[in-house]
Amino acid sequence: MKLTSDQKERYAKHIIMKSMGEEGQKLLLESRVLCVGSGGLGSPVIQYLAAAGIGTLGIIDDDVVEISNLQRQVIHGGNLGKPKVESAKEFVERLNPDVTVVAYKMRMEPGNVEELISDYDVVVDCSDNFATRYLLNDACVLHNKPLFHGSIFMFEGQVMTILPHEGPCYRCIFSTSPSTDAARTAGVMGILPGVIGTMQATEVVKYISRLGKPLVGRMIYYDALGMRFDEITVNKNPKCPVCGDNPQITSIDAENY
Amino acid sequence: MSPQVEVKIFPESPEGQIIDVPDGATYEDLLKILDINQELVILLNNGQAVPIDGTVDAGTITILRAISGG
Repeated sequence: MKLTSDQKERYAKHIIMKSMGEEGQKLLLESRVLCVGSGGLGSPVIQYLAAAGIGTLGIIDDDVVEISNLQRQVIHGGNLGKPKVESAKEFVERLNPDVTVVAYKMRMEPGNVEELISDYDVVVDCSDNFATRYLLNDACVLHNKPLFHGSIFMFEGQVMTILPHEGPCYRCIFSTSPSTDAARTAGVMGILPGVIGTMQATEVVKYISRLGKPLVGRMIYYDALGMRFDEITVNKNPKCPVCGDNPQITSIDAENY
Repeated sequence: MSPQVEVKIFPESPEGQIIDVPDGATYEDLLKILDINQELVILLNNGQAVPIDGTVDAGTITILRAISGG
């Protein structure tokens, strides 16, 4: 592809960096990214990936915008009652006409996950429950799709990049699902998803434009109250049920989620 | 000889603390000593996920809350 004069102007601050240049920007414009969730984490991920010029942005979410979302979900202003995927699509179209948004108003489930991810180069996990996180992880490992993980709880967040078979996956670390999704009732500092989501988006842009060192085999743990970023080493688990030496999960089976 | 481990708990004590663990103690025992609910956390020893019923080996143990919010 060739950048238009408008695109050269829009992305000038990317292009001027030698390590990215026009080639890096073209990679972004040609890329297809699936964002699972358009809530707290999804908002900054969608916002910055759209601004960066991701060519096709798939967004999946079955929720509608509620007033209690607006404390942190910064792309949905003025859209109360509207499906979040439509609200997100409107936001992106206002921000950057280069981006094609594919909106999926549905839940990601065992029956649709493989088909959904197959249309994309990478997947960003902005979901809000363990079941979806395990489902996405397993599908991405089985189909060798890079997965950009982020999660939040009250004042803390975790970020990790999963390049299947190159580094640990989500199940290597979180081998079994905790019994509760505590964040649903615990609350969250409104700014927190902004910090974590922009780190996920950073990882996506780096990966697609082939820049820097991915957050593989390392987890960034952010504590807003202590204002600390800690890097935690995480290793592949040979006993991992999906990417270990003798995997038990070799296909997406609804009973596992 | 009972193993001595460094335990880092996020977010409470990320700097780490040295703990003498009774010989043969499991990670479940360690969580009981630390008064941490095992259903809410994951444990890594030198970066490797460890089973809750595994015997504690010397190393740096990281205890993280398993969080799912988005």
